[in-house]
Amino acid sequence: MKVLIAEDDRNIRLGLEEILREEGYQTVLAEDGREALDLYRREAPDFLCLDIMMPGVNGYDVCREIRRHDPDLPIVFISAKSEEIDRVLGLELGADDFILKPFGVREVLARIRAVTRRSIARQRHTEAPRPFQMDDLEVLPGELRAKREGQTIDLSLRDVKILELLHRKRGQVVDRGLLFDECWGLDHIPNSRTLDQHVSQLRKRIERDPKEPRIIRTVHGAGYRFEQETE
Amino acid sequence: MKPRLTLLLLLIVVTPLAIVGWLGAKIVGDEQDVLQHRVSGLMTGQLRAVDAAISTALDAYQQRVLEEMRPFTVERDALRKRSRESALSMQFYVLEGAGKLLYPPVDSPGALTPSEREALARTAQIWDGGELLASVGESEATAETGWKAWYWGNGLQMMFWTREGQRIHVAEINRTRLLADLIAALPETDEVAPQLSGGRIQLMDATGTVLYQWGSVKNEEALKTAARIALRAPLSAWSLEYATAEAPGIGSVVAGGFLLTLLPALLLLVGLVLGMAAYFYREQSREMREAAQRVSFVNQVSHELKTPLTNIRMYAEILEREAGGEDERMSRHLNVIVSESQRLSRMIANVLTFSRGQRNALNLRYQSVVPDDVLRTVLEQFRPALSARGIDVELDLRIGEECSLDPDALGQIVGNLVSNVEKYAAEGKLLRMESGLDSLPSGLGRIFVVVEDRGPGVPAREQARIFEPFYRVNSLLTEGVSGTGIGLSISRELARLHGGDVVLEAKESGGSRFLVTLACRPVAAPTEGRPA
Repeated sequence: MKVLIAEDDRNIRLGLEEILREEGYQTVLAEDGREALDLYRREAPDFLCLDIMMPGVNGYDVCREIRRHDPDLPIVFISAKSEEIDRVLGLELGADDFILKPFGVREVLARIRAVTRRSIARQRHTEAPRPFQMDDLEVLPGELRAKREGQTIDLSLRDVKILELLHRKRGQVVDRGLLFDECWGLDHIPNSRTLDQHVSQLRKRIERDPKEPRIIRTVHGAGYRFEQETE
Repeated sequence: MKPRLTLLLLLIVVTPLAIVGWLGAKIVGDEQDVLQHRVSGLMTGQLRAVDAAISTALDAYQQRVLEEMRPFTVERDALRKRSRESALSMQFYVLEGAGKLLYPPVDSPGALTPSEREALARTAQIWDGGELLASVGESEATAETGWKAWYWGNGLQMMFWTREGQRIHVAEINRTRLLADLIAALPETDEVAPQLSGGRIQLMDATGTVLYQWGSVKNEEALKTAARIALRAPLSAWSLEYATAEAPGIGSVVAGGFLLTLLPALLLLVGLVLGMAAYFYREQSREMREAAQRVSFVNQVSHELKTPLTNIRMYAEILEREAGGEDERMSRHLNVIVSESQRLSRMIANVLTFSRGQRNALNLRYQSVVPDDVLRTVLEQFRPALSARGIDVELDLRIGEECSLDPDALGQIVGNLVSNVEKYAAEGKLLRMESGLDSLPSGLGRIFVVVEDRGPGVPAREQARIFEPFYRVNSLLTEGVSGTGIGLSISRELARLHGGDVVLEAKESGGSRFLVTLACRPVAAPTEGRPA
């Protein structure tokens, strides 16, 4: 899933890029409205994070221009002024959500995941990602969630990709290279530590006992494997 | 301008003007009374002069009557002739010392002429009752002459007497002639009071009947007595009166005096008051403009702080996630950066909310959220700070369903309350939070959140004031503790905007217990956090 981040403050732009990449998104960056429109045409992103006050063409104008071609593209506005957000909502520019500065990582993730869920829901009629079972965990890829005994667990796009891959290759060893290629992307520099850390964090959330994992099992020297014992 | 300030300005202008007006009216009233008194005194004096003129005329009349009575005689024919020819007197009488009438001859009624009979009928009460002798007796022993008045027929009748040996000679005065002579002696109105015009002088008898009047008036009906005196004896039953439709000349005299003395002073005072009001208004407007500029500056700075603050917070959180709790020391340091930037975010949010409240620009953004999630997020932000101060958190959260409310407002309200526990009630070592949802018959819901601590509590005398902006409890409690003093005020304002309130509830044991209520609409089907 590709996200276009349009923000004139370089540090915020790069910070958002880092958070979203970590979540499993591809990103394209624009530092003003004109570049955002240009990248929108060239890269066809799945959704936009759009700062309102940018030099040249501002966020309102970018949104209006994009809406002329694509009324459904999810757009999340970013602003320091709640008055600007009020204006966005008042103008009915079709904003899907907004993030008010100063924001933290958790808030960004919550908003982005919410928009992704809606985005996936919109595409359901063409490529519906089906729920699947891993041990006693029901994974709902379309909702970026998993469920166990009525308890809901939030998942990132990358978490879903990892679980989908392991489920598809159930009973087989999924090596690190494949995991990187499918879940991080080909342009990502493979790093064992990154992968191990991610799997470790994911286990903490989805396994009943992370020390005795039943969903993501380690195959020493090879990779990871999911065994569907009931099937 | 705010209505209260307008009212204040009006009071500042209107009050002195009202006082000046009242004083002016009082001075004018007093002045009028004094003038009225003076005019009345002047009129009385003038009426006395008229009285003196009447008295002089009467004296002259008396002399002429006395001349007619001489030479004194008891001769019947001579007296009859004298009575017939006299213009001043109607009839002459002669009494002997014991009071018996020698003339007219009452002893021989057949000898009386018709005019003598009429005269005796007119004067019967004088002779029958011995009134004349009594009157003569009452007068000084040395008095040789005197007057006697009595009522008969059409009014006051008069007779003049003089003693001659043992006899008393009497002349019954021709009333009409006397009145004519007296009137002829009266001065003109203008002579009486040249400075007063528009009045009338009246000569009246004892019954109030006007015998004579002079002077012209425009409005007869509005005529009022301005001064009255009784004439001196023997006409003391008569009176002189000055009547006028208005206090003569008073209006012009008063208005003139007022215009010359009071009005310039009054105008000066009014000018001063208006000048002061204008100055005050200008100063006040300038101060308000400057205050607005200061607020705008703080507003602008607060907004500008948000971008660097976002970077500090975001990168600290990214680092924290990357560290993944492996390096405890680094995690602790990053925790400090994150929690302090969150604290700064809350302060900025409070300043901006307060500023919006001042501009009546506060509004809510309703979203479908699980209120307990908001409460947990707030507590999560405070966890490092609470834990550093050794405050345990006890939770009893029971709103797991989605409601339509403004999560930012709820977070800000509860954040301020939790921040107060952290700052002022750390010694109690406990923060208790409870939440619940009450369904109302209208279909709306009301969520409540209780934030309770075991700190020193709020002194009873301060409880009513802690929700006022910038008010900070002045005690050891707040000494050395930072704060802006707007947290509770903002929390209450936001809660009220949200159809609820924040109140400090009575607590029997130590500590404080704040109850937050917010109106909300339960959401049937769960939806994502889109703006409502």
